[in-house]
Amino acid sequence: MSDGPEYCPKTLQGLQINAVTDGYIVYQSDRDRVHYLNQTAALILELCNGRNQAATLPELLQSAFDLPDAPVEEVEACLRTLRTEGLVA
Amino acid sequence: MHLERIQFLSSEFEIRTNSRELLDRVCCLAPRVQQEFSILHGCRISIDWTGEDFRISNSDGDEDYELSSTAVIERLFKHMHRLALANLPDHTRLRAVTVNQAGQAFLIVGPKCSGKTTLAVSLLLAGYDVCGDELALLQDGHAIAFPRRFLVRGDCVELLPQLKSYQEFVDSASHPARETLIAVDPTGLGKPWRLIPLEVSAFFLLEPNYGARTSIQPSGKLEMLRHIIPQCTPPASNRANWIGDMSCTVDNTRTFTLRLGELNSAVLAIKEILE
Repeated sequence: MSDGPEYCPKTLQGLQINAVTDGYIVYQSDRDRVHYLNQTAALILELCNGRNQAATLPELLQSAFDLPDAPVEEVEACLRTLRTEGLVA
Repeated sequence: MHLERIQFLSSEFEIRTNSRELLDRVCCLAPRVQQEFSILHGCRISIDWTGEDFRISNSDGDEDYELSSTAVIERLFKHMHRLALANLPDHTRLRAVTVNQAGQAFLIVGPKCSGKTTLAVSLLLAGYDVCGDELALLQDGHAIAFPRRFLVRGDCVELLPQLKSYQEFVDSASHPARETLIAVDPTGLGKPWRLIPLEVSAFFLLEPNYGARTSIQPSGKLEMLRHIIPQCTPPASNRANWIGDMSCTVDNTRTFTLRLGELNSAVLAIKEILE
């Protein structure tokens, strides 16, 4: 991750997060934008609580979805998108 | 002076005019729908034929002129629709067909020209209690159709042969080159037409598959919302969390993608999946 091993991503305040069966609908009122997060992205957003280091997220996902390998690149890409879209700092 | 009252959900419009002919035309176009909705707002509209043009004014003091009866009627209905919708500021508007089935609503969502009205009329002719063809108003998991006649394109006559005896279709068929919209009133087809807020039980997302057989597949909630939310007009009141309301509504219903091909197979597919 670009912010070093200590980086703990955190979901920004002011988001309206609505859970549905297969993901999250997130409304960003300041930008009047709606984001549709699938279950994986929704879990990553949940894990961005300011306490989990970014480097540990792939392992947490591996454990949550019972994956054979930690999805390092996928998590990095998702986290990058969440940051670009202003959902996570 | 001639007078007529027309209800659009919570709004009632009292129309006064010195032209009997104009009022007859307005009455012919007004939806003959039974609405179980308390009237909370009233508006008086006057239309006076001056001998040269029509002067249209309302109880708010607005005033304007139109040269032809067609133009004044068009303006009148647009005005009534706009006010009626403004008087329901907490509802989210969604482009959708609304069908009442056993006291619950299923909605067929799709963009303009995706075949919603043609399918709505097909369902109506098949015995379904279709409440509206174009606009549904949603709040807290409930939907009500906006009371408007179903506007069927004239070139859809061939797709709806059962309507060939409907007078306005007969007129349209005699001018096949002309692009016309035919205002179909379910009561004119001998069907009941009643509007009541209904709990939403299912959403169908319409995708064109013209010329082929219709198919229906279950759809994910997220995918459904991805298509539905862009079709929505948010509540005028800026009601907080309307997206949360829509998300909850969709999450609590059955959701399907309806690839619309041949109409009879579409009606059968919907019937099968709902039964």
